[in-house]
This record gives sequence, structure tokens and C-alpha cells, in this order.
Amino acid sequence: MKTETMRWAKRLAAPLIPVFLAFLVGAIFLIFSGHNPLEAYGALFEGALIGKSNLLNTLFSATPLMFTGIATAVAFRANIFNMGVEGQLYLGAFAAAYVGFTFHGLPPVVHVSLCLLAALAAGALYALIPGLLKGFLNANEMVVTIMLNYVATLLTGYLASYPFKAKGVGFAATDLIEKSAELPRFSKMTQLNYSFVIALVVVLLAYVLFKKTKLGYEIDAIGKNGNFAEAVGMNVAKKTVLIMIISGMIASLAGAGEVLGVHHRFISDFSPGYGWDGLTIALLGSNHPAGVLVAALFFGMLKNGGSSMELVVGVPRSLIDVIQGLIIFFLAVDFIAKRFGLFQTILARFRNA
Amino acid sequence: MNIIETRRLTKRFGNMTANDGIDFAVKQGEIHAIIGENGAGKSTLMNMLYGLLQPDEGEIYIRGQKTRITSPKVAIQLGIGMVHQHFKLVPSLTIAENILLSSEPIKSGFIDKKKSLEIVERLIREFGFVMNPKDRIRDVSVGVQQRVEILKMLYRDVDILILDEPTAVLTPQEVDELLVSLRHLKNKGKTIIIITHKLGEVKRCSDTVTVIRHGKVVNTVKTSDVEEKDLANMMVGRDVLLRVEKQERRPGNVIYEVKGLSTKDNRGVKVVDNVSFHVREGEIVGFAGVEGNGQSELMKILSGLWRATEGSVTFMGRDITNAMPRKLRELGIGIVPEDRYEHGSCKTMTIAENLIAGYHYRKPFTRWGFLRSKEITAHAERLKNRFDVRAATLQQHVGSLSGGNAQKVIIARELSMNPKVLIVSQPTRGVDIGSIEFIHQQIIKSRDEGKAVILISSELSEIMNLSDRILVMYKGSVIGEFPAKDVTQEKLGYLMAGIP
Repeated sequence: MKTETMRWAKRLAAPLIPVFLAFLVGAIFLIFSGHNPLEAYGALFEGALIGKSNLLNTLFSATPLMFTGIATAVAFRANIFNMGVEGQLYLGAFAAAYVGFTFHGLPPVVHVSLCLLAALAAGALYALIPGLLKGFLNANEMVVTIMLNYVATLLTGYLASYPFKAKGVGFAATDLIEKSAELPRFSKMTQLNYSFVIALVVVLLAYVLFKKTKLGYEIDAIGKNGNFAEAVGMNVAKKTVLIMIISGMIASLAGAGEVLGVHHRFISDFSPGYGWDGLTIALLGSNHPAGVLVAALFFGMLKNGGSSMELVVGVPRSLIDVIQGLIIFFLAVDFIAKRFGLFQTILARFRNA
Repeated sequence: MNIIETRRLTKRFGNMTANDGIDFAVKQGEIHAIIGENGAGKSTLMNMLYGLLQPDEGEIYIRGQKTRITSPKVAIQLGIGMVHQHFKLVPSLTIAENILLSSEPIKSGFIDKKKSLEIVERLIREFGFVMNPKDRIRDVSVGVQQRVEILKMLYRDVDILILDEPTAVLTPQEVDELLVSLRHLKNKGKTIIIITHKLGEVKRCSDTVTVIRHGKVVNTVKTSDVEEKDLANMMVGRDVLLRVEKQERRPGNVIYEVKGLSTKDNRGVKVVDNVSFHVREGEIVGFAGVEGNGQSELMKILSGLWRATEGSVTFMGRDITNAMPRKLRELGIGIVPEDRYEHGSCKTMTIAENLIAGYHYRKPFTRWGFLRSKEITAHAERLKNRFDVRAATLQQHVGSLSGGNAQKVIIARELSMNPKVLIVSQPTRGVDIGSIEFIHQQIIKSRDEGKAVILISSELSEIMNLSDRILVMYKGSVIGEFPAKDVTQEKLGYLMAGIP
């Protein structure tokens, strides 16, 4: 059982090391710009965790990241690189907003459900394109999904600027959705709303999917050895399409949650890169639902704490972006080291010299 | 004079010994062929000579000097160059640029283009190749690309050239051209080592042959002293290690029939050519042949992983030509693929998970889309005992098992659904003796239960021991069929070398 404990320790250490290193390098930046890193980080964590409203706002910041993290993880587990979460999120958001402002006089439960369904359908259809191209024509899904992100952002931007632009609003946005389509907040002191509950349900469903279902088993097999999966009769092409669709649907909920719970309308370019953060979060959480949940909460904490760090000690909140960038960097180093035996190569070089 | 000599050279990977005390010598200025089946240890030996792998034991002597070859750079300094099976060229650069890459002539800090072309043109002329140094790699044929790889080495003043399966990627015409080039290089005083498992080519170009089997040198002979059939025999081994108890049995009805099956590979070469055969219930049909004669491709077609371009496969009166793998399993065809870890199992999944793969969606493993771990564990437990899988727990990854136990997992899985036809390819490659015996017994037992068994193996003793009927494959075609009891090893050796 000792080896079992060791394996767990290793699994837990793997994401903690990049995070630790990122904070360390961030501290060097702080010292050079004349700040006390302990003070700055103290303000960051205090602003994110101490006090009820701070805590609730951290959960609020984490909500879209939980969706995008899980959406990415579902695909990553099957070794499918869905980089299109951002685009699927935009289409989901617009679809939810459209249903939200178009229908009137529906009971709240029905209206919200319809909005969510519309978002799911939009996300599914949009992910279907790269899914089919990858599954049946073996097109590189990374390229296709990244390109489709631009299509989605610009298309929804156009829709919000011209055909559906709200009158009398100074920016590109649609009309407000009906009150019946809004996801209510938990209390007045926070923006945290019921989309957080939906996100938790999605995390839980992902856990069940991965651990308990036939499809989860197939996702695992395809991700770990696609040739084997094909040889024993899992139709990898069809499953690829299905996995992309599921990933796209979860991504669309991130967008719908922001529209129904926060902005109450579709605003062009509203996402600060939730989809891209999802990539980091999935990697940081090793594509495991629990890991993704923790990583999303951690990123939510950074985002939320960043603003109070700015207020209290005057460190610009862009430091948070620096730290996030460094986390990606160190994760990538770790990834390359594992994949290509980086450290062994370097060591061998030194030994030969 | 021996330009290369190895003494007791040994290389282990985990508990697998890839090279076991290899004594091997190459004379200056000869073409030396190294032959052996896949996994015999040819590439391991060459990778040690080229500095890609370090030996665990033994010594390497180059021109009589004891040497440690720590990297390819050191190997090239010693005058040893290697051309890999998969080329390492930059498609968007020209032939000249690829040849000179990293050692271009420099004039005042810039690459001297004019001089580059001159150097390469001189090189091409000197070794009698035909190519335009200004062509880009992506625009030239595979054969030319290979010659560029050779020139790359020659430019670096290499005088020992190692070619790893150089003909595997070439069309027959390109093979002819390559062999002419090799003889030309030999006349220029170069020493050439060529790894292959194609006997015809060995006979046509080499002076000396070393046969490697199971990591050991079987023999080194002068090419002119041996026939192709002798080489075939040495490669697949005449030593009958194990005798399996097998009762005479009268086979039943024909339930599996293949007619006129053909397919082409991506070079457009017919790798399976008009293959026809049938299998009866309670019969083992064995496919003998030197590796690379279409057996792998035939296996892939029969397992639904490769499309046949012509011909048909019929199972119990149903047309199953080019059916998907899942369909085959649903009909009752069990498949044990050639590549154990690529198609047969998933190294990073557990034993229990591997034991349901392909049948995982069926009852009792899945209900309403949910896996039932209790049933899956019980199933795995049963199979582990029945097939004697030696593992500490069922939650162990298959990759952590020995080759023999991993293979038992695959065979257990395929037999657990009680198929009517069992298709098995290379069932005991790299497997320990104890497991070989067990696997052979299982195959015989399947036959005795009335299953139709198709056995593809490059291990001749295995084919002769297990089969009721033997078919010999050569260059993609079946060139002979015999009842197993009427055939001698000699006869099979001739056929495997393509001599009717």
C-alpha cells in the first residue's frame, strides 16, 4: 500500500509544483517593482477568502471556469484537443440570450430551461463541425477549433452590433432578457447566482461519466490508445464526434450562465478568455473532475483576490495574468519533461561533456 | 580486417534481453546483411553501434580499437553512419540544403550557396547517383529521399554505412536501383551493413550474412555458400522446443471462407494478392512465411482494420468483407492481433478494464449505459484464474505485466465470449517458454471445442506443431497448401523462400 500512497502523493504534487514556482517567480517580479511579495500575496488571499462576501465572489469568479475546465477535460481525456471552448461558449451565450429576450410570459423554470436548451443545442451544433472533420476526415481538431473561435466571436459580435442591437445602448449588446429567464442571485451582497449550482452538477455528472459509464470507459480507452480502441470495435470516429458534442455543450453552458446569471443580455466580446483559462484548468486538474473543480476555484480565487490586491497594496491586477501565464509555462515544461524525457536528455548531455 | 567487431554485447530492457552476448564482425569493404524476424534484436544491435543505445555488457571494437560510442556524433566521428527506416529530412528544403544541413560552407558569415551546390554536385557525381540538388525533398520520390540520406552520411566522410530496412518503403524498381547504388558504394571502398528480412535482396547484394534470432547470433555465413531456404530456416528456427499434445480430430463444416482477397498499400503495391482459403469447425489453419510477405496486412483485413480492395470474406454464409471490428466480434469472431500493445491491449489501463474491452457494452458489464464494477471484477477474477494470469492485483496496468501474461489477458478476453472463429497472429512472440506452452494448449483446446482457428505466425515450429493444415505465404500470395502431417520443414523452407 506504500506505493499506492506514493502514487497519490505524486499525483497531488504534480500540479502544486508549477503553481508554487509561478508564485515564486511572481514574487521576483514584485520585488523588482518595489513591492513586498508577502504583503501582496497576503492581500490577494485575504481579498479572495476572508469574509463571507469575498468568499462568495470567489465562487462567482470560479463558475464559468468550472464549465470551461470540464468541457476541455472531457475532450482531453479522449486525446481530442478541443481548443474551441471559447467559441462554443459565445454561441451558447448568444442562443441563451436570444431565447431570453424573444419569449415573453413564460414561467421562470420553463423559460430558464428553454434558454439552457437553446445554448446546449448551439454548443452541440458548433462542436459538431470540428467533430465531424476530425472523426471522419482526420482534420486536425486543434487548428479547426481555434479558427472557429474567431468565426464565433465575430459572428456573435455582428449579431449584437446590427440585427439584434439593443436601442439606446452605447455598446454592442442585445436587449435585456426577460426577468423570467434570469438565473437568480443568492443574495444582494454577491453576484453569485444559480449558474454555480449548475456548474457543480456538471462537475458531478462528469465524475459519473468518467468513472461509472460505458462512454467514460470508451473515452478512457480512446485517449490512452486509439488504435486499441478501434481494434476492439469502439467506433472511434463516431465516438470522437460524440465527445466533441458533449464538450461543446458543457462549454455553451459557461456562456449561458454568464448571460442568464450576470449580464442579463448578450454583450459582444464579454468573455475575458474563459475558454482559454479552461485549458489551463483542465491541465492543472489532470482532467479529473475533482482536480478541475479545485483548479477552477483556485483560478477564481486569483481573479477575485487580484482586485483587492490592487486596491490594498497597489499592485496592478495584471500580475494575476503574469502568474497564470507562468503556471501554463511551468505546466508545459512538466509536460515536455514527461513526454520527451527532457531532464534525462539534459543530464545525459552534461555527463557526456 | 574486421572494421567492426563486438564481443559478448548484451542489452536488456527491463526483464527482456534484446541482445544476448552478441559476437559479430564485419570486414572492411563488404556488404554485410543482418537478417532476423521483427523483435529479433537487429535494430537494437545497430542502435548500439550508432550510439543511440548503450550496451549493458560487452565491448565494441572499431578498426581494432576498443571504443565507447556514446552518441551518434561520436559514431560519425568514427566513420559510422546510419540511415533509418523513417527518414530525417526537411521536406521544404532542397536536396543540397538537406545534405549540408549544419555543416554548410560559410562565406563572410553567410551560407555560400554557390559553393554548396558545387559540393553536392561533386558528391552526387562521385557516387554515381542521379538527382537534381535543387529539387525540394517534398517533390522527390521516396527512393531519391533515401539516397539523399545516404549522401548526407557520405558527405560527413562516413565509411561504414548502416541501413535499417532500407527496402521496406521502396517499390520494386526503387529496390533495384538501391541495390545497384550499394554495390557502387562498395566498389568505392565503403563498408555497408544492411538490416532486412527479405531474403531475395540479401542473396542479390550481400557478401556475408549474419542471422539473429531471439537476441542471439544463430550463424554468420558467406552469402555464396547458402541458399535462400537455408536462411529462411535459420531465421525461423529449426529447433523444435516444444511438442504439444494434439489428438487427431475430424474437422466439421466450413464456416469461414476467404475468396480472392487482395489489397494495396500506400505505395500502390499489392501486399495481399488474391488470397483464398477456408477454415472448418475444429480445425487450425496455419499461415507460414517469412515476415513481410503480406501476413500482417492479411491479419489487418481479417480484423476489420484495413480494407480489402478485391475479394470476399464469408462467415457461416454471411458476407463480412470489410466489416467493422465490432461487427466481427458480435458475429462470434475472436481476434488476437499481431501487435500486443498497439491493437491487442492498452498498456495504461488495468487488467480488469482490458479484459472487457470490445465486449464492455454487453450485459452483464453494462446496464443502461452504466458500468457494473462488481460484474467486471468477478469476470476478471474468473479469467485470471482460468488463464493463469500472473498478477498481484486486477487493478494493475497491463503494461506492468510480462509479455506472456499480457498476451494471456488478450487471449482470455477473446476466448471468454466463446467465439466460433478465433484469429490469432504471432501469439507467442517474445513470450516466455511457460506461457508459450499454456497459450499453445489454449489454442488446441479451442480447436477441440469445435472452434475454427486461423493462426498466423513466423515461428515455423509453432505453425508445424499446432496446425492441421498449413498455407505458405510469399509476396502476398498463398503459394502452397498442405495437410500438416504430410509436410517437412525442408519443403516449407523452400516455399517460404519462394521456390516452388
